Amino acid sequence: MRRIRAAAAAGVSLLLAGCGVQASEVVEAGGPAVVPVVPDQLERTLLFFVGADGRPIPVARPLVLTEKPVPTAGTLAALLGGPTEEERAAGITTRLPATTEKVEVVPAAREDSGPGREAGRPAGALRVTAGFAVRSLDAAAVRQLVCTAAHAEDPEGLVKVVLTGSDGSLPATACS
Amino acid sequence: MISGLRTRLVLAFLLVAAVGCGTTAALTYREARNAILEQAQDTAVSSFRDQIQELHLNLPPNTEQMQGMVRGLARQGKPRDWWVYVEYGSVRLSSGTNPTSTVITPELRRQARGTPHGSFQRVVRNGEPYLTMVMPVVFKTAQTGTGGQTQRPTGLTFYAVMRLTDEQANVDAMVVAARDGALPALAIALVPALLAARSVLRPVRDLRQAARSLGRGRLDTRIPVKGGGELSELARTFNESTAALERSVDELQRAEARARRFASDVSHELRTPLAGMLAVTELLDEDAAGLDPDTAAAVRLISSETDKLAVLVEDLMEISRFDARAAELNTDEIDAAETIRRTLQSRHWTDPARIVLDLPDGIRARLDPRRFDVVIANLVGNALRHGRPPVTVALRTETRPPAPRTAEGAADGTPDAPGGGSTRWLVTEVADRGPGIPADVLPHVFDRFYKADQARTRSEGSGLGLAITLENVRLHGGTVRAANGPGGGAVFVVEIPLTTSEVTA
Repeated sequence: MRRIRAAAAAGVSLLLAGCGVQASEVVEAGGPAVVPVVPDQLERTLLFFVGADGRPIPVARPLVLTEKPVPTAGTLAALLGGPTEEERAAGITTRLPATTEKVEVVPAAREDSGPGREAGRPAGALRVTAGFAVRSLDAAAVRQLVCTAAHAEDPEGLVKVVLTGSDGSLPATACS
Repeated sequence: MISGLRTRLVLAFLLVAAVGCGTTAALTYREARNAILEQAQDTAVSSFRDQIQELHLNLPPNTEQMQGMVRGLARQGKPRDWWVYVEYGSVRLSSGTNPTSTVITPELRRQARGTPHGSFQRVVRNGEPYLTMVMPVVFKTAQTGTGGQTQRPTGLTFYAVMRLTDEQANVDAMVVAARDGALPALAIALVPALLAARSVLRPVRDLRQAARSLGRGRLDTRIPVKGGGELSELARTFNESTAALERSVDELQRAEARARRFASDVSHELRTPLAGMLAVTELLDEDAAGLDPDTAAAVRLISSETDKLAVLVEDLMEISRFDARAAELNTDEIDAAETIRRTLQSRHWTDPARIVLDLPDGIRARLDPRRFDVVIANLVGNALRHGRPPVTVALRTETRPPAPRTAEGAADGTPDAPGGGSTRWLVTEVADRGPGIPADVLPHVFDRFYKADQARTRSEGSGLGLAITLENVRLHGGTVRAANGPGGGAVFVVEIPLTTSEVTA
């Protein structure tokens, strides 16, 4: 009799526990939303700034048609120039020191094949030499430089970048 | 007991049905609920994603652009209206009045930051269920149409909050449906439950009837054994026990019959030699005066003992006839007082100092004169022997309401008595002034050869007198009982129904 009672109680509790719509855990459901960005890749410069929390926020600035094609060094100079007033208003900041010093860029594995980004995927690492200390930069700042340089060099942004600063070099890293 | 068993059977059946119904309903309900929720969630998440993917973004988007997106998305809520929130950098915008939602949990925000996946979470706030969704927005870095695969987060995150009230209503409706389905199912289950209980209980009822029939003395009662279940096993055992009982009762009856026949045969066999002995002792008695005193005393002793033996044998034969149910009632309509007087006269019990009579004339009864004579003689003789005079013999009639048995007789149409069912009884009372009967002896006075005083082995009577009295009264349909009178002394009351005699009286 006790067993029957226990079974009945279990059944009732099962019924009650399952009643209504219950709260749930966070459930992953598919991928993110993929959105086209205007202007298109050929008509923009992609700069990676950071939000207040240090997460990267890409900014697509339209190209001034006369400057085409913009060398990677120019893109990096724009990055070092910092976010615009409008961008700052949206909470976009930079972790990089403000400088007007030129950045030298040596494209990887393409030194012999001449200029032109469409010539082929770079095999080696892109060398970026800045006039400031890079080893003391935080991860977000390094990511800003690496991602901006990689995407300026390669639309897919898969090229590795070696940062060299006044205090030495960082190991080759890719934008991730 | 049977109703108890039935109740338990039915309850057990219903319980099984309820557990079955309940489990099925609960499982079905769970599956259906999950299906409803999954449908709603999947639709909402994928349509949210699809709608976002139709947007074109500037990086960074300006506030007006984002506000427009949020409003646009909020209008296209699917399957239902939702609130849309967007986070970008330090910008927080929503389609509602509050820029941030109170329903979205920190876990969901963390999930959105951690992985580039759409996610959802059901949240219950103030008893109301909500579906909260998050959709991070990414873009392809390569030129559109070049097959580039690299996606980078735009830093833009959309949230949507949708009420699940319709789903809740659907789920609640299912609970109601499950309940409304289960109750009739239980009611229907009652029918097979009762049928099953009936089929189980039929053998039990048979068994009860058989046991009752057995109790009424029908030892040949048997139960038909069907099938091979536990109940037929019980029936078989019952039959075996009954057969064994019948055998032993049969044997007992045969043994008793043998014993009775033996007593009857012995008394028969003793009668003939006793008759001879009686004749001889009578002769010797007459000649005793001429013998020397010692021989004369011996002869008289033999004579008296032979007389007693003769009485004993007669009594034994009489009781044997009763036992063999061979005693017949030869009734005659007689005057009760007259018969008693004649009985006393024939025994020479006429001394008024010893016998006091209270015999009203005119009571006529249908009696067997010989047996009534034996009854009166035995009772009076007993009183004279064991009690002290004077012995009172009183006769009267009484009218009493019928006992249930006589009522049945009346219902059969037997004209028991006039006056609507009440019966008139002839009551004869024999009382003495002796010490009375000890209480422990009282229940046994009518037993055969019962000795009130175990030390007194030699009784003046045969020891069968009261037993014969009882049998004679019973033969008349009456009763005899012994008691002690209020003034001390034994009182024997004989009650015999006055049957048809009253009509002629």
